[in-house]
Amino acid sequence: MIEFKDVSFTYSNGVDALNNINLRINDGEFAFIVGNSGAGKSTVVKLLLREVAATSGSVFVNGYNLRKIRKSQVPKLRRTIGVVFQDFRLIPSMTVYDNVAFVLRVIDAPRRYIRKRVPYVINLVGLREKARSYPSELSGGEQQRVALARALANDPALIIADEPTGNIDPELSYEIVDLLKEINRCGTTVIMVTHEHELVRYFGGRIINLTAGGIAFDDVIGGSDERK
Amino acid sequence: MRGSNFKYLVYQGLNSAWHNRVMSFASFCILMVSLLLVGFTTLVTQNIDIIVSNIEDKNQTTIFMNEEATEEDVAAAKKLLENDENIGEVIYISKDQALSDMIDKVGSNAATLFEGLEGENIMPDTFQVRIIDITKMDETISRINKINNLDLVKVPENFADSLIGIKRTLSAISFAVVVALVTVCLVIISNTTRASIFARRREINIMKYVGATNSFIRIPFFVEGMFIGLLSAVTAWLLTWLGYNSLFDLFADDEVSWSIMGVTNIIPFEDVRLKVLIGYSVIGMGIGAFGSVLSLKKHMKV
Repeated sequence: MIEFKDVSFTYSNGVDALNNINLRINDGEFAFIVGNSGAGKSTVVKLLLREVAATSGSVFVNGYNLRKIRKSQVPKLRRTIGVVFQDFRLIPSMTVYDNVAFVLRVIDAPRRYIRKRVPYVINLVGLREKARSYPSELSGGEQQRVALARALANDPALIIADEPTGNIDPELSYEIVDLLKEINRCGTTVIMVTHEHELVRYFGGRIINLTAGGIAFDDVIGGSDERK
Repeated sequence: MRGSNFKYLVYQGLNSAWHNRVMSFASFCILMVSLLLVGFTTLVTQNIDIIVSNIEDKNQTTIFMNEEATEEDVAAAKKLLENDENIGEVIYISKDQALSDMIDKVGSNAATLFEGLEGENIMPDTFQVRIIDITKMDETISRINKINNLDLVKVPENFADSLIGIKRTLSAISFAVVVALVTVCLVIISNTTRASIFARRREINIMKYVGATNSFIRIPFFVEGMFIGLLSAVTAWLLTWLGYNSLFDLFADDEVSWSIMGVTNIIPFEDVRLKVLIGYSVIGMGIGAFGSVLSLKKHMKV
């Protein structure tokens, strides 16, 4: 579960990114966070990953109170979250298999588990044939699938997808969101940050619209069946 | 941490040294040249120190007893000199021995020189001593001056002063050279490592986002730095061995000429090779490993 209680955040240069927001996302939910540039979307992601701490108010993620969390516990918090970035952030010197296995090595998983889990998640995102390829040998869509597989490897309670379709073809964008929806159906909470309104309108669901650091809209809408 | 994971991190460190081979090679070269410069300066300084010590060993202070000195006074003086911690060697020349030496020295003129003194010995009991540490000359002389019925202490003051001056200047120069070299090396190595880590900041950033602990991130960099440091150390050691032995052969080929110039004992590399290897390895691996880890700090704040 994710909860923001009266959260405000001001950057060191004095810019107010979030103003007193309250938000709750329950386990197993799928939520889109939308908004224009500077609305505070990236700050929400940074707060969720405890890259920054709230200036005031409290943030709770997967049972951790991020206001009180010790530095040494931050890696443990992050192990409960899978992150997908707009620019994929794959390690270029590692194969697809190693990029995914890497997350499990980080958490000191047994080798036998790694050997079983990694092919499973690579298969889940449809990249079985590309397991031995390097990121530079893959298309943008395929690289984002690897990033998704990496986010899933650890079987996290929460997946944060930060503009996951920003660097890929519009057609492939739908596939990526389809995959995220599929993952959500298996019980994982998914938060997708995007500024692509077409995608949001197509898939529908819970939409949280941030405007100038505040929540302007938070409701569930129905999807349309028309892809652009 | 599991053993398999530790092995993986060590492998990652070595693998990354190869993957980033351009930066690794740059670090290797800089570290190796730095070690060579510091090593050679230290070896040259040590050799100069030995040469100066050899010259220092040749100092001689002469102590003359006066006419009233009894056999007991002479024995007490001998004991005092032999027990002094800064006196290395004591040669006693009795009055008779001194007279005999003098007669031998002046040869045929002896009869003229000692005319009217037949049956008398005007030569004093004498001690010739070698001062171990000439920087402590004054304290030693003041202890010698306490001898009963002492007439005169003849000290090679100019010799001592010059040597002390040379030693101090050499120590200051070599210290300054080593400090300057080490500082320059640290700055260059730190910049090279920073550049290497900057190129991999993305990788570090990803590690942080997937929940890697700081030690998990540091170990491969630590291993990589140590590996490059060790390679640099071994290469620098081999080059020092070759270079030093060439200089040593130059010395051995013409030992007499060098000896005239005061260069007598050059340390053979075989005597110091283990120390040099250990020194190079410790410095190389230390700078390599800690240089990497310290440069990482900035990129760990995610």
